[in-house]
Amino acid sequence: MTATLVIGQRASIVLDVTEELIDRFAALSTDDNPLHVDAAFARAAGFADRVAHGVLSVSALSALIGTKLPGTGALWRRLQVDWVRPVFPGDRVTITAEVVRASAAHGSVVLRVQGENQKQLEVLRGEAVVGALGADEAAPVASAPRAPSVVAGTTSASERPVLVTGGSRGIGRSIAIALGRMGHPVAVGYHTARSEAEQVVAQIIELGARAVAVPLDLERDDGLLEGLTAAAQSLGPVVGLVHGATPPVAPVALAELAPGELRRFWQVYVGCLLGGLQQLRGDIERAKWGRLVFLGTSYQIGAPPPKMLAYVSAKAALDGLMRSLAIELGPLGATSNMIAPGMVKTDLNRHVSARALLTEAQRTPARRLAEPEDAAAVTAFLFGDGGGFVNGACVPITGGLVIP
Amino acid sequence: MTDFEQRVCDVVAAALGESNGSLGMDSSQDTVDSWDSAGIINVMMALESEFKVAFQTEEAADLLSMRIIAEILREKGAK
Repeated sequence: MTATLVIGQRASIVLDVTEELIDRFAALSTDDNPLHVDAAFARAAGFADRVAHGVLSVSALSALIGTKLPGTGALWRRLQVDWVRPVFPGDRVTITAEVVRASAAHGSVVLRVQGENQKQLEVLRGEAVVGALGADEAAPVASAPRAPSVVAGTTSASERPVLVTGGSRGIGRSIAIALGRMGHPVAVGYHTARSEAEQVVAQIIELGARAVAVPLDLERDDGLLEGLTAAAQSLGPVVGLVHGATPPVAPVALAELAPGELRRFWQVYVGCLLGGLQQLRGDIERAKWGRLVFLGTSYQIGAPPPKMLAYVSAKAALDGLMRSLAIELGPLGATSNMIAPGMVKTDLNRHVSARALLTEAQRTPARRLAEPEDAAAVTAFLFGDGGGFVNGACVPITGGLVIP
Repeated sequence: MTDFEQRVCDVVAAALGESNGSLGMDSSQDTVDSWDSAGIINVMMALESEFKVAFQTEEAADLLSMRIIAEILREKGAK
């Protein structure tokens, strides 16, 4: 037993995960779930490979506690753990434990626990309470790192599937990848760009999250509902939505605007959502958590440009929907927000002249156009714990060019 | 820098009272003190004369950087 423990004291142990190790653990535990032992089954379920048993990583923590921190004589009393990302054969997992507090009176030590893979991506986190023979009161050390306290009982992102409409390209693509990086299972919604969507899926799986490409036809009234249903078959009930899909955008003067074109924008932005939102509401209520982020535009703020009537009016309708959902879904544990980027360098703006792009950038106080990653970072914030009290907001991402 | 871009830089520098060769394609309102609303009127007139193009008055507000000016001149068919 370590004679004196100090707050912030750390120790680590490394676990090299191999197929053989997983097979041996399956035999030992009798857990031969095909997700663990059948690579083809695991891939069909949206994983990159066989998934190591979560408890296999935790077994390394057992060795860490029993042999290093606190060491000989330590006995586990409680463990709370979130498995944030799956672990695959070939992964090298480093488990680190850090003393958060200790009590001589109770003879126990509280350890904050974290596991990372070889890409420095978090795979698990939690808190362990360990009975320690002869534990001394731990003394705070000024120079020791003070980690944020662990929130007990939280559900990890890996249990909160998300659908990103328009997820195959541009801003939607960046958002899908950012949410996958957070650990969310991501359904990448696409209309025609199937191969691009599958590339995004592969990138998310590479990051350690689950992902699946989902075809969407948002010109149908049940377009969103069909997408959510397809996503749920692979990922489980969806509790997060990023609605970024759009028809092709090009300036058209009022005199030349076809009636069907106005209806098309309203349908894809708003009309396709009802059945899906009703299903989403039920799943959010059961999960007691939900996130909705709608892609808006800085054109909603101040005077819009000419010849964008269909686009701007439909985005304004979406803004009203977003605010109404914030009120209605807030009591269920959900937030509903909109991001309003300025001109972003994506396919959507291929009709914009080089002159206009240069001028927009030069007029922006930040002296650049928005990047898709700017919108993805704000969306990730809104999905994270830090954004949990932001509800009903339209967040400009304009570098200061447009200020409400 | 192309010959066309060099000509644009030289014309703008002269119109703003800057020394020849002191401005480049990265020059803008942020990097040249004399690049103000009065100077831009001189720049518009000098560009019209040199490249045989015509500017609308409201286009003065767009002349914020050398790259924008070059792009506008290309749009107007200047070579």
